[in-house]
Amino acid sequence: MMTEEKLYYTKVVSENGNEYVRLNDSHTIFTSEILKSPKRIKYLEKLNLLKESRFFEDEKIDEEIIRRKIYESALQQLTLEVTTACNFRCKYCVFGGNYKLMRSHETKNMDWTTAKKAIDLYFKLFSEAEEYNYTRKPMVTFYGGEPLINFTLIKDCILYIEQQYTNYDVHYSLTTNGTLLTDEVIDFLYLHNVNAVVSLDGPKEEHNRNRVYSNGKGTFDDVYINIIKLSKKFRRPVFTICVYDIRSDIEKISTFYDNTSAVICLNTTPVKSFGSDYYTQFTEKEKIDFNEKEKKMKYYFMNNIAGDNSKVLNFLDRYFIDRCATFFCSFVDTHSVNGKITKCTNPCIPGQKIFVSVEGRIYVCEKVSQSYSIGNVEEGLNYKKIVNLVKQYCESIVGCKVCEIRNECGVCNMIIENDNGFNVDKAVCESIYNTRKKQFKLALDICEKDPIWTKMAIALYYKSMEEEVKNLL
Amino acid sequence: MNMYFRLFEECFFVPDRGGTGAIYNVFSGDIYKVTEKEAGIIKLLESNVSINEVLSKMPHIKKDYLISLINLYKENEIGTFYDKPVYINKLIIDYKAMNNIPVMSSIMITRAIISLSNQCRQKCKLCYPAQYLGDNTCICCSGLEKSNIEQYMEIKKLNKIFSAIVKLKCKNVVLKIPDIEVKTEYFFQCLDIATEYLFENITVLLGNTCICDKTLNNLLNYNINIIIQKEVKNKEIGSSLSIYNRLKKIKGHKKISLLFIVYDDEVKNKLVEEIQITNENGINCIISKYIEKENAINYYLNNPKFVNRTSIESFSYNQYFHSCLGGLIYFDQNGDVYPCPNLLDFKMGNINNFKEVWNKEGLHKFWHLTSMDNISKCKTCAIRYACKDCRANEYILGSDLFKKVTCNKI
Repeated sequence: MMTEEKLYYTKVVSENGNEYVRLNDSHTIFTSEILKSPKRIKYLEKLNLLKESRFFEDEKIDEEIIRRKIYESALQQLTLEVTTACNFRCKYCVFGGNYKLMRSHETKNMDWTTAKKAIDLYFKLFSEAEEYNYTRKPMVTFYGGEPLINFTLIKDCILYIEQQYTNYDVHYSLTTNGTLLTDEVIDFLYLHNVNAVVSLDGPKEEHNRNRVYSNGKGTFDDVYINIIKLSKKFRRPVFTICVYDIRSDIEKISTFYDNTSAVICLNTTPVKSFGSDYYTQFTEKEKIDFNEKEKKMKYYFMNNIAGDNSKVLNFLDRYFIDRCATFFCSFVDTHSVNGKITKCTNPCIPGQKIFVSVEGRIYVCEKVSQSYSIGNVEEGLNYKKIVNLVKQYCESIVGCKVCEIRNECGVCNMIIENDNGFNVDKAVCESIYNTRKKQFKLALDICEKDPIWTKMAIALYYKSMEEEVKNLL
Repeated sequence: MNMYFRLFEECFFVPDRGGTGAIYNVFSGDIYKVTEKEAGIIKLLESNVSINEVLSKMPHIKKDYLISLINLYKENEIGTFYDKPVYINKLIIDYKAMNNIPVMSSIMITRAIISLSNQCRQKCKLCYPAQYLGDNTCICCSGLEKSNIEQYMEIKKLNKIFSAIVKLKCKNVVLKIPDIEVKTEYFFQCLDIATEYLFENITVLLGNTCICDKTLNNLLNYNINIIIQKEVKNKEIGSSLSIYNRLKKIKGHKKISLLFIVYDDEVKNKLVEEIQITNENGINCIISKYIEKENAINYYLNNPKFVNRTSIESFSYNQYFHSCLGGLIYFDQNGDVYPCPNLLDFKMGNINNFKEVWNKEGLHKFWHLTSMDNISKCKTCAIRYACKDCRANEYILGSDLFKKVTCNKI
């Protein structure tokens, strides 16, 4: 029998003083009582809730296995980088020079020939993969720079797909800074069911702190007026993404969102820390102040929002529940065989998403650097290169096999790539581990407050989002 | 001190409409029925109500009774005491959520049943026109297959089926062969193809006991399970008798199971005798009771019900899908697709247009629609997640897919 020392778990004490363990290998949570019972631990082993080390041993990877895995994942989406140009110069932009592996601001546009080839390639792969998953729908996303700078191409792509691939119910989306949403653009998006998500960092003073034009002028007024137009046309609130950093005033952002009926914050996300020295600009005092404010907001959330059914789409609900949502999802892993290509951590399989750059090269996703392409629109996916990439990745995470969170760590290509390929930085690991532990504690605190509400809040959130998307389709 | 008692993460209390309930232990597989009094107590304890509060909320409960009950639960390792309210994250796989997240949802076939032929020389009581129904009808001859118009599954179609289901992660395949001696070469060709696809389990169901030594030996060369259907009669005839002699002679007979078809209680002694013989020869046996349709409802209502043991997977799965139909697909000799070999009123498509099977109202929706939580009579029954429900039998007897006519437990 496995001894307690060999169990891979994270122990956390909740605000109320209860002790819990997360068996990270099987994504399960128990009170620490389980550690006192040999009989229950034996069941954990028998039912594959504790994984033996062979579960994480690498297996043979070849082009055929990769192809099958990509098909099983059903080609989640095609992302077209329709332009590298942007009319904003956001201070945290990954293309703004702060992130050493990422490109700088450019002014290239994708041409029609490249876009058409990318679309044809995606639908060819999608139709081949369909036999592995009949319920999936194709998804085409337009990315930039600011994608609407090349609106003519977006229009051509959608009209071409509608004409050429009539058998498919395609879901279109784009993330925009919102300034180029003219009446013509809005009418087209509405007519063709394009889900436009707008970046909006909160009220004017918050948004304008980071999201500025090249002359340094804030962009809020121009964005907000278009959001109102978009909301009126679609007769629903506009989905937004809110990015924050240490200087963000979460309280103000929260008040703004909860009092603005034209927007629903879909997702809150901190400025990306990996691969950049962005956070070195903040003083220790600012960090302490931010944490204090966050604590205050958490207190408010726990006492005024958690448990209240009418506040499921509240900003703070998104802010806190988003970051610990994985702990609420009951996707218990009872498998005896590890079906993942990379046995530890959770990267995408290169090719399951198709990101096509302006030049027509294919990359793992829009977030990785463009130093290693996995194919191009002329020749399609290069499985040999994908196998090499996966092997390189696996070699770089050998040390992860003995990590407490080996089966659920969020490390992926984007996080561990550097000038020399892939490298797991201990400081990054420590940061991921500590964040996860903090999130686990947050999840437990919310569940202790009201477990039924927590489950319902998540279900209601997804249901309302689903309804919104259905209305759109 | 104000103490709390909670069932463990692996133990689920499922209340009954009548006020009683059941506790499922997905670790051990046990299911305990609980009385109305116990159910009231567990309900409160599971809502983080302290033991003292339970006593004040249920004044008719004596403290000694409550303490001894809780201690009994503790001794049986289904729960424990805590000194403050605690969050218990129940051990469940949330199939509902998985199906609602677009990037996660994917169709998974757990079992495919394929009918290769409709020809058989044997005359069984249960055969066409089907007057009987029973347990395990999905792996028995259903009595609906036999026809005067000879039909065999085309090899090309069979290949297409295997290729399609393997992509949907199907691991278990059942091939129904009413009479293997009618076109032996063809059936072995089918088996050759099936084994190429590397399914985890291939089972052949042989409807006719008339099988020669050579055929049995050839079958045993494959890594497959063999089920031979055999009617239990007081007076045995020919081939039915000789099957034991054949099984005794051949090596590797542990891969073979005998599926006994029992029609009435008069053969009880004979059945015991046959079970003894199979045991002595190391052969597995499955017993399937068949009842004349017109007497079936009465029979089921007046005989004990059996439930399955529970597990993490089945307890979770059965909350969203039907325990038997969930993940099941049936192909007839034309390649037509049905949810079950006995639900032939619900044609879902054909292998030649397999995409159609999974459209908006497709087979995967059928798996969910028929779950016990959607059967009005069953949705408040405490043992619904372990019930050996057969939708096909209910449909045949009640003419409604969502009725339950063979059970009077409410």
